[in-house]
Amino acid sequence: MLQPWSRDLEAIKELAAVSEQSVIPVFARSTAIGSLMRRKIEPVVTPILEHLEALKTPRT
Amino acid sequence: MSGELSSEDQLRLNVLLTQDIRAIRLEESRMELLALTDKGEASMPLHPTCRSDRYLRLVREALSGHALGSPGGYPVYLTRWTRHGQMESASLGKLLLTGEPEAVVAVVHSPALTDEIAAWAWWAMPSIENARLMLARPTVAQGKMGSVLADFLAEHLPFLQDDHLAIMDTIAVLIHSGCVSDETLAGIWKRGKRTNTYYVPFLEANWPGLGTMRPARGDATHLATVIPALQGPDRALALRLEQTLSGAGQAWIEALQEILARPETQEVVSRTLNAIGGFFSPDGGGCPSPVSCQACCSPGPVIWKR
Repeated sequence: MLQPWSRDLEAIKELAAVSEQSVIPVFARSTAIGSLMRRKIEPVVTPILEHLEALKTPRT
Repeated sequence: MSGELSSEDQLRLNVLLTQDIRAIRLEESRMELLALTDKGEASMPLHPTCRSDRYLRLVREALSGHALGSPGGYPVYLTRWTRHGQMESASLGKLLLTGEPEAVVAVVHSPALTDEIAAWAWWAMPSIENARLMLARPTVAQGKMGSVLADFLAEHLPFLQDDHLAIMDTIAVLIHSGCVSDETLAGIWKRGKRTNTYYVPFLEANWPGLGTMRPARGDATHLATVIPALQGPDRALALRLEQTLSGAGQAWIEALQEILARPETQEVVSRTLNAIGGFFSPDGGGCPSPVSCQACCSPGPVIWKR
């Protein structure tokens, strides 16, 4: 019954596992802020932004 | 160099200390001692007999000797200990009689802080950090000082400028205190357009005001018709999805996208990611404290409990 929202449910499950633990390896090695920091955390942030965008898109 | 207070100051101080004093503050630039008594504020000009910094130390030693029985003055080197809220003494108010700013800091960090002592500490040292720390205590937020401190913080929020951690902590305290109106909070939220750090504490607290900002997603109504027929894990998951598709959920996501597109500091990133995990996880959980604490770096306050 939830088939139309399978992409949304997948996004929710992925986002539920998000925490600062994902960026600790980056922040532990760098004190960068601003654009340099944003570049370093891009691999972590990009998938999150994709999931968030999916949750804004109507399915039916 | 003289090692004693002038005879005039010694006499006046002895008379002053016989009264019922709540707090003492030293105005260093004016070389003046101010005391908060049960009858109001009293002032006493100082007459140094040596260099002013040395003389102020002598005054503080005299005050400390009277209040705490510690003739060497308040131990200012205990900064780390007192900032972790270790000061639980029943005679907390006596620290405010030493005229020592560090002792006031120890008082505002203390878990034993009461609304009355908060008022005295506020008179002794009115600063943004002290206001935030005191307002974070439920006894203070629910007391007479709650609205005084909240108004001060709301008014002084723009002065924090690039101190992103202080911005987040201050707004979090304002939200959790319940001492500011929805209109004031809405005004603070609007500043997020310019500095997205302002959004973070609202997302951590899942601020109810988000509900009116965006329409629900187009298929939210369809999902609502499906949910009653579901059971078990599918139902729990569908209910979480329903929250996400609601107007509040969509506003939450939109603000989150703005933050992640351009976060300013590492603290902003860390707290935002924890807020995401707390928002979407089935059980929420984490640190109930409205301010960031050293001892706990788990996700923010419990949200979405049905």
